[in-house]
Amino acid sequence: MASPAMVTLISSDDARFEVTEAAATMSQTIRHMIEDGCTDGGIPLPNVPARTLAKVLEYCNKHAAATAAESSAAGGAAAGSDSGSSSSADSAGKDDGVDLASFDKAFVEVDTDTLYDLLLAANYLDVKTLLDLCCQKVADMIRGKTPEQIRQTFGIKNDFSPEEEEKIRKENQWAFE
Amino acid sequence: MKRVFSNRRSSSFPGGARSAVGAGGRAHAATPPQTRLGVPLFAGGGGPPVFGTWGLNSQQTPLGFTPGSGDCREFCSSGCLVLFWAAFRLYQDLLRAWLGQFQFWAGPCIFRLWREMAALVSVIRVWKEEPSASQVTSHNSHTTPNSPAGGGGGGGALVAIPIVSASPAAVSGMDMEEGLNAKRGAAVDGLPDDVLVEILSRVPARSIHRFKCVSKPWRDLIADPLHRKRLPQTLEGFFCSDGSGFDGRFISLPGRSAPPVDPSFSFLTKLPGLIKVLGSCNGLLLFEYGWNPATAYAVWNPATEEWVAVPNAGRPSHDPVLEERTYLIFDPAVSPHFHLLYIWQKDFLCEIEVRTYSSETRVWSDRASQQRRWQDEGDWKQRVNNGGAILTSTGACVNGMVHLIIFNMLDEYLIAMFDREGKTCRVIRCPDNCASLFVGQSQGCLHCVGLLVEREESCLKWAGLSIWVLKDYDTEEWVLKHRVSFLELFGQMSCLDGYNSNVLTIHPDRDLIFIHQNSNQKLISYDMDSKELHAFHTLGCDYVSLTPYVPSFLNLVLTNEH
Repeated sequence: MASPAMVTLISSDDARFEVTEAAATMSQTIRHMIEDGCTDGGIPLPNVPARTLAKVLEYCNKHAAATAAESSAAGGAAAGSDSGSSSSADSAGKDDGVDLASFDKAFVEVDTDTLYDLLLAANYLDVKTLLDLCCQKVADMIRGKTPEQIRQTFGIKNDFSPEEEEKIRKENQWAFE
Repeated sequence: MKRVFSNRRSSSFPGGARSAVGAGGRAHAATPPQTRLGVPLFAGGGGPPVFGTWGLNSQQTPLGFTPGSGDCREFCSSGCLVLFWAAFRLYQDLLRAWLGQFQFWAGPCIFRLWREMAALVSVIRVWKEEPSASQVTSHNSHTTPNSPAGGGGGGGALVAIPIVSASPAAVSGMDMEEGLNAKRGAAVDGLPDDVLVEILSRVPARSIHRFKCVSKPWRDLIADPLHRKRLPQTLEGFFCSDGSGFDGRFISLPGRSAPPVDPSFSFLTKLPGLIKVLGSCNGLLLFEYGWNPATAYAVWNPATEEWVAVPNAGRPSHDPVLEERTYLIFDPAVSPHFHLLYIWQKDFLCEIEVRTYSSETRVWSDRASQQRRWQDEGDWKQRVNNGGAILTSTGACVNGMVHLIIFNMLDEYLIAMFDREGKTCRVIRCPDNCASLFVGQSQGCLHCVGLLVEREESCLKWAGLSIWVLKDYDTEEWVLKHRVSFLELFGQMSCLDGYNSNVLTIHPDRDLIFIHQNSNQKLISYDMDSKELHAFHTLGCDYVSLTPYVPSFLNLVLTNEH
């Protein structure tokens, strides 16, 4: 197989994505499929539409590349004997960290529907860091909101009777002050 | 805000949950062994296997399967095969769990087992009901309805072996979620509860309590013991002891309807002698019990009602002791084990000694007996032991380290930090060298409450409290957060105000301090933002100590052996 190893992912709407194995295996789900030798003819991801998969892969590509750069920088630093090269590698690593953080921040600056899709895809594909990122973003969105705002955000019907709701409100009075 | 998370996606992620991870993948992965197992199981059976009721009643009922009346040998062999199959699947699942394929659910193993058996039973039932349909392909149509997500990826290979189409993870993943949702509707349509809990674990406790009002599924999800462990908790109140020891009294903060724990602690009756609360840390409480000198410790989690006994530190009982304290260190983010730190001073200005206990090793270690004396580390020696020092009564476990306020002979108030091995990691100055009454954590930062000193003519006077935040451990940079005079707090000034009040704690999530006023035994909270005072409880006259409590629903790793 040519280097770097590539795998083909097939979205729910039959779009095919060719990505490096390093990027694809950021998903534990895909990693296990690859380990189990199920890559022939592409890996079907029946739960992820192309639009979302493209976005997830953008994230995986970026992070996989950063990880590769970091490990090669670390390798270079370990190999290099003079302090000059190692410090430059350090600063490069640091830049990557800053770069990645700003990438992550910008990555989840999306409309809530997209964020929701990403959340579900990250969960299904089991990309831990992306799931964390999306969960944090949603958490930041909902913190401090009132129950009514939460219902609107998630499209939830209030199934409490007014008395029941009042009772819970009373029991948790401090949280509403 | 506009409605943003629409329901439209419930179809695109049918199972959705983390447990459904690998739906497609596992279907593929699992195929080869299943093929090997599956074919002889049914093709070689030669006719309709008849299936009995061997411990499988619960599985059969949902499928409406009634036990067959077939011959005993067939019954036994198919029973064994099913058990063998189930064991094989369990082994496979455990192997995968071990490999880290799914992180959260142990449940799916059980559920999957259930499903495997159910699928098998349904296959067998079909066989029984339609003896003529001995061709394996015909069963597929009966089993696929059970596997809405799993059928798609398989293609031809799956058609031949009915069990495969029913077995892959997609199905069992669904079951877990369906099972939960059947018990109570999904909190958010299409969003696995597990993901919602992951989100909720990142919002403040206050918001979580508010969200109980969203809907019944939200209320139940938040109250679910499985989820509670992962959701943030906050200060609920104080455990209170009086002169006769601890009897489980709890004082809730205002606005709460009931104490978070059952105050009739059964475990207290098991401890002999006087029971004293020594402190709390991240949901665990430390007690001392027994009669001097044969005292011992107990660590208790009120939320899970678990407790474990810990022997005493083994200090020679004939040794004189001026001051002794024991602190509990527990930081679930770092370790599931707790540590105790026993620190004592033999005499005025004597060296301070430390012993530590780990619930992992279950032994006390004595740093003094080790080659390198612990006091020599860091700048402890020059800042504390050169001139001698006095332990004050103030200390707390913050960020996994015990922070102790110490007063040395250079007229310095210092905060000494000990890690769980009893090493002094740092010694830093108290802010403004003020007489410090309290050290604790709020909103992720170390806070220190000190006495505000004013000079009146030639006299120094304690005038109020100053609240400081440590912005940076390295530069020891303290920032004054708030000042409040005793006049504002107590409505009057008195030369005894400094003695008249104890700072009990600072709220972990808010700019709120809790003070006990000795003269009238009132507990008051003071909001630094709004400057509001709130007297929320009056203590009996014999109170001894109040211990702040933030629940933790994590289970203790240890149990008592007997």
